[in-house]
Amino acid sequence: MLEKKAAQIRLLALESVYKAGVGNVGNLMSSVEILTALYYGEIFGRKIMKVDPTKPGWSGQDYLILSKVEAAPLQYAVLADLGFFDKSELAFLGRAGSILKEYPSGKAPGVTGTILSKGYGLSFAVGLVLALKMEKKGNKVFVLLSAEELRQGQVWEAIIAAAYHRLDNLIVFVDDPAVEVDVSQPVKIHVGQVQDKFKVFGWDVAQVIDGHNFDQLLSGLDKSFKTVRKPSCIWCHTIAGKGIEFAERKTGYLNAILSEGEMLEILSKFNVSA
Amino acid sequence: MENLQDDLLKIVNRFNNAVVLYCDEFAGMENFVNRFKDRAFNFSGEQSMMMAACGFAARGKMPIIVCSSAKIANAYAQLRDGICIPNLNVKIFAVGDGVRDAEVVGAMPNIRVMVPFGGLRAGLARHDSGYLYGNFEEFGPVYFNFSGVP
Repeated sequence: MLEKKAAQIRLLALESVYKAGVGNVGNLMSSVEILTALYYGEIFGRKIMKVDPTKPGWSGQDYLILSKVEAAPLQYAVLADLGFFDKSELAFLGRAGSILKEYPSGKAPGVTGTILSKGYGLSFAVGLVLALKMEKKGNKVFVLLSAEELRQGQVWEAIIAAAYHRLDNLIVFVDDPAVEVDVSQPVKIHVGQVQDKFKVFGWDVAQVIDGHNFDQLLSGLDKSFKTVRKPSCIWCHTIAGKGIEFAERKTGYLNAILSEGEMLEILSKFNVSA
Repeated sequence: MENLQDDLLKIVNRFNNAVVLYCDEFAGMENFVNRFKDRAFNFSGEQSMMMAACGFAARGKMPIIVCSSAKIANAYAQLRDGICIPNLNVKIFAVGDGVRDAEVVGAMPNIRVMVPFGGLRAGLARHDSGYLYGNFEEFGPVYFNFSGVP
């Protein structure tokens, strides 16, 4: 059931970035399963994320903060599917006057916090969890971080602060998409084996070998729910451009959108008329 | 520093949703921190502190950032993108001499820059006129430049 939902979300997000004319298809597709598991997944019959489309600002809700800002169209697609706003809004993504921006915008129903740049989200979440702890509330705060952001100093400041304040209701997904090495592209500094560094700073780390497998994602979440007095990190090994055969692992599609022909091919694959 | 701590106590006593965020270097805050352990939070770096303030504001709190002007200058991008553009209810106490910080911060959207003559104490002494407390009662970001304090 979750696989079917992931396919629907994938298509909704692809259509919205295609209509907007800007987007990062490769980066977007690698996180589809993570967001689907969060919003629709259940562990022993209990919903993972408590959200209510009829009450967008509800104080008992769980939060998802996108530090990976380019995944914003994905969150909008999920929220539209859940009924936070109408699906027709997705066609106006990034347009002037629209509630849906290319980055996570706090003005969109169901989105918490305006995150304008990469690397800001984890620090935001640390503040949010501290505020919840102050109120003695146990709402969970999930963060989606891309492995690329771990090059930024601000993220490490937040990692240290989260461990120092023992924020056990903070759960961070690190999306580490695999890409083929492309000699024509400039070489990026690789972050290396950072999972161990999280442990050194006092975090609990769960490895998800296949970030597109729901059983593995849910068992990683189950483990992190049982963690006490420590923030948790779920390291997900994913594939860039997952679900689009010609774009999988390709660096060229990381920060690009699909052309009209490619979009028609995808639509025919998903058995939807254009 | 004693003056600043006394005045922070007054503000936190008056506003129930106020929380104080500070950086490691602000070691002179012991009295305040001991009195309000659950409402004062230490951060390892000023950039993450700026964005954490936005997280507090998302839960309806009124974060008061107490930091030196020079350190805040490290986090102008976070101040602009995280606090000023979304127009969050965050108050910033910039202590010590900054380099033209009032002008730089004043150019950011939505934020008000206050330079109380004689520092915070002078501002609070005139509290009957609502000069300083008014800035806390009103929603939106405010930057207080306390150059010369302590």
